[in-house]
Amino acid sequence: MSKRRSSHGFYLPDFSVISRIVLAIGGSYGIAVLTDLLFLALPIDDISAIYWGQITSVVVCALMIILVFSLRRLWLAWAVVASLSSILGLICYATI
Amino acid sequence: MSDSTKTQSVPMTKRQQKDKTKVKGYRLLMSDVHTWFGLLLGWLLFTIFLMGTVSYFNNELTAWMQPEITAVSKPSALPLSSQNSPNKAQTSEPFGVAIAHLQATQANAKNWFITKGPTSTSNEQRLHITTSADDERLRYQFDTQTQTAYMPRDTAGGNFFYRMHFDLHYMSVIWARIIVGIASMMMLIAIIAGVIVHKKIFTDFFTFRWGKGQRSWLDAHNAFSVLPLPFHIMITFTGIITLIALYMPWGGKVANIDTEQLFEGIYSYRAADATELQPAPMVDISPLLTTAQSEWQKLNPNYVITSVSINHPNTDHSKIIVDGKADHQISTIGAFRIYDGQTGDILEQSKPPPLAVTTHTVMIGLHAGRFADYWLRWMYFLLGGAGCGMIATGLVLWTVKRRRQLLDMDKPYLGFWLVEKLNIATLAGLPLAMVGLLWLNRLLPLEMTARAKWEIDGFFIIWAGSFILTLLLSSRHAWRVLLSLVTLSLLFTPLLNSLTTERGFLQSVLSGDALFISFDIAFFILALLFAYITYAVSFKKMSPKQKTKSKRRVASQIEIS
Amino acid sequence: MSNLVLSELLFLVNLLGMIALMITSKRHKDKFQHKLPLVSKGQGLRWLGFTLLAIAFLLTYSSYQIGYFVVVWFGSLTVAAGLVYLIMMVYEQLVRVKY
Repeated sequence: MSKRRSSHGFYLPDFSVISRIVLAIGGSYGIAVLTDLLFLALPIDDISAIYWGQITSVVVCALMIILVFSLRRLWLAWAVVASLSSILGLICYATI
Repeated sequence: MSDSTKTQSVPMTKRQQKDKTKVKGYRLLMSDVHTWFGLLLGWLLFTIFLMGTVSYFNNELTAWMQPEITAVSKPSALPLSSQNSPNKAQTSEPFGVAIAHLQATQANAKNWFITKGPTSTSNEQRLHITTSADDERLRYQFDTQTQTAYMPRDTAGGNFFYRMHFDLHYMSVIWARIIVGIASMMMLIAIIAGVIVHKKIFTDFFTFRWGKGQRSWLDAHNAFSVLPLPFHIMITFTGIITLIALYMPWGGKVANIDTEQLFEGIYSYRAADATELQPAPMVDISPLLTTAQSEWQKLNPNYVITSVSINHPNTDHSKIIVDGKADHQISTIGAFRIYDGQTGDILEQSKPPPLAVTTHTVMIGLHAGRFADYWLRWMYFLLGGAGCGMIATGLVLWTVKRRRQLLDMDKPYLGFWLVEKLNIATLAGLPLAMVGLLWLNRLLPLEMTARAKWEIDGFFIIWAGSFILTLLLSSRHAWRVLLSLVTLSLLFTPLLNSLTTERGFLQSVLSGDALFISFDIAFFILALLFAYITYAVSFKKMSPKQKTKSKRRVASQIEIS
Repeated sequence: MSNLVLSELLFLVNLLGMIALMITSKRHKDKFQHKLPLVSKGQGLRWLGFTLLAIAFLLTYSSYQIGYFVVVWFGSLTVAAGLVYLIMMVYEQLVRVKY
């Protein structure tokens, strides 16, 4: 990662770092929400779906953040998050 | 042929080398993740962890901060609850006595709430009562045998630390819980990344190297993190789950569920907000309690009534809410019944909840640890303390590692300066503020207006004072001064207690007051601990060799530019 | 058996298991070479250590409040490990000061 400096001598953050942080926050929360909603599509009662969904969404959120920071190539991380959210979003839209 | 020569004679293939670098590279990457996720909100996490840890003794702290309420004596008639099942049929009678007392003294309250505290602060006869009227809330204890009400001084007690753990202070609770939730998720990531990074997690399990500077700090950080790892993962995860309804309400919204109805099916709480009340007599409540308890005990012989709440007593909207739980159950919910106060009819009864709900409430129960008996709560406390140690050693390790890399020790870069100052102000200042709160509890005049509020404001004033002190002094002196203050104040708290109350150490020993004796001993042990910490953070004096090394580095930088 | 006795038993068995694991750990192995010549590089003792931890876990099933005692098992696992850790830490410091 390059270390560019502004005129005041502060380290300017890389676009790639900001991008990854935004992806980690937004992508992980988004996929967690979709996972939470996915449980409503299952053949179980609404209350159980809500509670199981909530518990699973926390696990998924944590795993997604780790994943976003584990993939070396930034475009790959964006691609994985985008495709996962599309698939989950489609399933949710179709079934709920 | 020994093992060492075997590995040397067969060099790594190119593929193996590439894989090893890849893993090493991944570990380095995760190390950055671990550092950033741990550092950014590390001071908030230390606060949350410390507040949570002391909250395991919330009720005991409150009892200590209300010394005018006489100690509970060991009930001679009842056998030890751990040995045989106690005489469960009798447990509903004290509630009846308490209700009679409330009927006589506060017939027009909005709500009466009667519960049993943990065994260290209450027993079968001593109940905790909270009554709410429009403008005030009274909390006190009531002895059902002697029919005495004990009114304490105006103090938040241990409840202040408990609420600060997730509601923080001086801000809207929703925002506080969102911030705490974000911090908890960052902690969870830091823990996962930490496990990935730690190459020798099993080899170094029992390792501590003395006198090795950064390596010693890392060993300490590892010990505090790895040994209680199941606890840390559990507490962080369940912490997020406890407030998950705030973070993930979308399931309920999309399913169009009436969340109020959902909660009313699971929890027994009902708001006392009825209007247009007409006075009306209430039925005799004791038989209702006895029936409820015996019917519950038919299904589960370990069930007892844990609390009775009466909304709008002596009106036509009165409701009696009876809660029960099984002995040592982890889940936070149990059976409940809601009776109509006028007629004694059962309005609502709880149904066995679905597995998903039980799982959720078991997770909350694991986090809160209220199901734990005295000794298990000490374990929770120790492990929570280890968590505080984990965060503290991690934050200090960050500065120790980078101090050696500083070009000029006296003029560090902004990031380093900020981390170091925040470290001192939080890791030393927060404990000082906490002991300060206990001192204020003993020293503030009893009849002072808004006394509880001033105790809390005083806590934050002391904490702010530590911030200012940290900015004014050099880091080395700030550490020493603040930590010494913590040590001394802890050491003198038992003395302060004996001077300002009638429950000093000698009196406690003479009257067999286990609670106050344990507090005095705990203060002493904590003072020893902080004395050791004061010693441990004193900087190693730089050897002459190190001094010339850094001077040369500075000189070479000047030459290049 | 009563709650307190079972809790103490769980802690004791976990403690013995942790001691066995500590003796066979890379860091402390050498201290015990003279006193306890280990058969096959301490494999047996290491297995014994893990088995003791497992036995303690199985002991939780002897109570009718299994969930409660599983929590006690986890807690005492760490406290036992911590105790062994602390003792070795103090021991090494005393040895260091001696020499």
